[in-house]
Amino acid sequence: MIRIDFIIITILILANIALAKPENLAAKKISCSNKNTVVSFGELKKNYTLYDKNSVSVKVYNCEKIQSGSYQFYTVFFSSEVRDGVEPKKVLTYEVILLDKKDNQLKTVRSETVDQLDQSTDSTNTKFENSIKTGWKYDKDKDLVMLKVNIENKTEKNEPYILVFNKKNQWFEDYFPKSKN
Amino acid sequence: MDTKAILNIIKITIVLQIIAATLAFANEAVDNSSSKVSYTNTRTVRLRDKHLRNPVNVKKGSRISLDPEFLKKVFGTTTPTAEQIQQLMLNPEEASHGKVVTQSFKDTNTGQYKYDYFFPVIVVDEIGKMLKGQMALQAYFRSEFVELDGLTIADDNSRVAYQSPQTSDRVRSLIKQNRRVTEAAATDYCTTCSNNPRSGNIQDLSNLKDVINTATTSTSTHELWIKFNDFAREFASNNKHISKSNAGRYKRLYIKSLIEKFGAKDAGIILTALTGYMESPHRQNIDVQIAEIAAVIKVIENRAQNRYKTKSKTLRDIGASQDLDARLSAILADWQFSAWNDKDNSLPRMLNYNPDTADTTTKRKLAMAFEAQKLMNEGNIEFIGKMNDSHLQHYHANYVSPSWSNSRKRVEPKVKVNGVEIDLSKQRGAKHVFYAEIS
Repeated sequence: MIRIDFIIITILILANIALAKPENLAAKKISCSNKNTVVSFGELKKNYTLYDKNSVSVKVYNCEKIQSGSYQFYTVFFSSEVRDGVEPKKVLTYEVILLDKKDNQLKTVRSETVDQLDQSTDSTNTKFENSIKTGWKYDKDKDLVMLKVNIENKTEKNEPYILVFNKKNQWFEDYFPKSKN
Repeated sequence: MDTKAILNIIKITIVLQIIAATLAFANEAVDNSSSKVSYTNTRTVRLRDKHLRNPVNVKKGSRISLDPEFLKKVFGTTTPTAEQIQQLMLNPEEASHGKVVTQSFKDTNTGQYKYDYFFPVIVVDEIGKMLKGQMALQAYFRSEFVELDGLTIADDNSRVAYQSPQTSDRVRSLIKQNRRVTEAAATDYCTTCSNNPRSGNIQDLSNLKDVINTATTSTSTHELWIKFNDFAREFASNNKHISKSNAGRYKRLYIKSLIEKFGAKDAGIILTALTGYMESPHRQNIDVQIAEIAAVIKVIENRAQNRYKTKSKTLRDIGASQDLDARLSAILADWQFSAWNDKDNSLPRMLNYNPDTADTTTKRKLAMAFEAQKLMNEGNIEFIGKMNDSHLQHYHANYVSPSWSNSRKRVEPKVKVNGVEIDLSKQRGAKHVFYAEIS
């Protein structure tokens, strides 16, 4: 006969394992507007200057809010013309912003270039070809926020990759599984 | 046989000869219509008429060949070698001895007038339709858009003229693979024995070892070149699907791996060489090529020294401090050296570099990029006048006009390599324009 205490312990262990799995986080679409590189998130009534502050022709496509525990993130998906460097470049960017609850300040914690238009002369390429798909997860035990990114393209199949929020560095860093390189 | 019969035979013979000649011409025309070096476009490209108007799109997968009449005009043959074609793509004006120059055309996207090199081509699309016209090839060759057949075969019997025997010997020794550092260094030292103040007639390798141990960066750059090739070989073998859309991610893996394997300082030296290779105009003469590369490296070093711009997403993305190494910060600073932008056309080519499959031209130029740093450290490269200014921190290609260049004074780009003075502004083809004292 199986002991009842053994059954209870087994259930508790299994429940612990289930609970320890990172939970999916929902990215909620929110309203936002911009005046060039200054973005306003409707609910926050705060303005924020994007990472590449010298950019022009900024067009915001959408904004999201992701909340988990002590973290509150916002994302901005936009196109712009980056004026730093030698020639202006038309780029598509996915930017992640953290609302630091200690000082109530917004700060960029990742600026991912999704696409860049070909600058070579006599180019036929006038539209962005890449798009981005993201998934958010939170590991409560380790207090880790993870962002899964997939840069999608009609002609190429890319592998998704993981970014992990580094609390100390205040930045989403690439996670590379231990491999040959 | 009567006269009438003989005349008929003559007439038939003449007609047959005419037919044969016509057939021969037709065959020759067919053979000449597709030169032996052709390429397939991997993205839609543009074809224009002989006046560079009426652009049409050429879908990917089309076969594009240079017009044989053009090849004959430039090379004196309709079947140039693969290396000749590659040189033509890399620096058309120089390779064609001035026969190919940039032409003005109206950019379809912006409506502005621009300049580029155009080549007469014959296009055969997937359904066999043939078109003739002009195509801006250089831009496409430099990107991943064009796969040029026959250029992956290393051509060690290249007949490109070297003008500086000492430099050419050093470069040749550098591009040989799988050579131990001491052996490679011995050849290098012995080759330049008469010019190298530190050497005598070095016969004893144990003495040479002492020299190597006391010489710091001048030898370490050499060793780095060999170890870098080992790294590049392994990286390319392990990461085979690098393309423009995912190159940013692989770039971060590449740089993180470089830092882990070589340490921040040596990773900075390697990245400096790679940037010098990618950014400098292509030249056939080795001394001139080294001068071009050295000028780019000079700008990098000045920026590193002055901490000109250090904000780098790339370093933050891999968890590295912006202060890890001054050269790394300078090179990877956001948007500064376009070859390292996540979605730049030339980035996949650099990440995919594998010494086992790369062509000789690529390996030669990369070797020169490592050699240039060594020569700079040894004092064998001299920057003349304002080129030696520590505020020499900007350059751009002569075919663009950034807003910050308007109010700045250009610097005369003169560099001495192994005692040979080179004026970079006098070279054929695309050039860099240098500036100092930009705030």
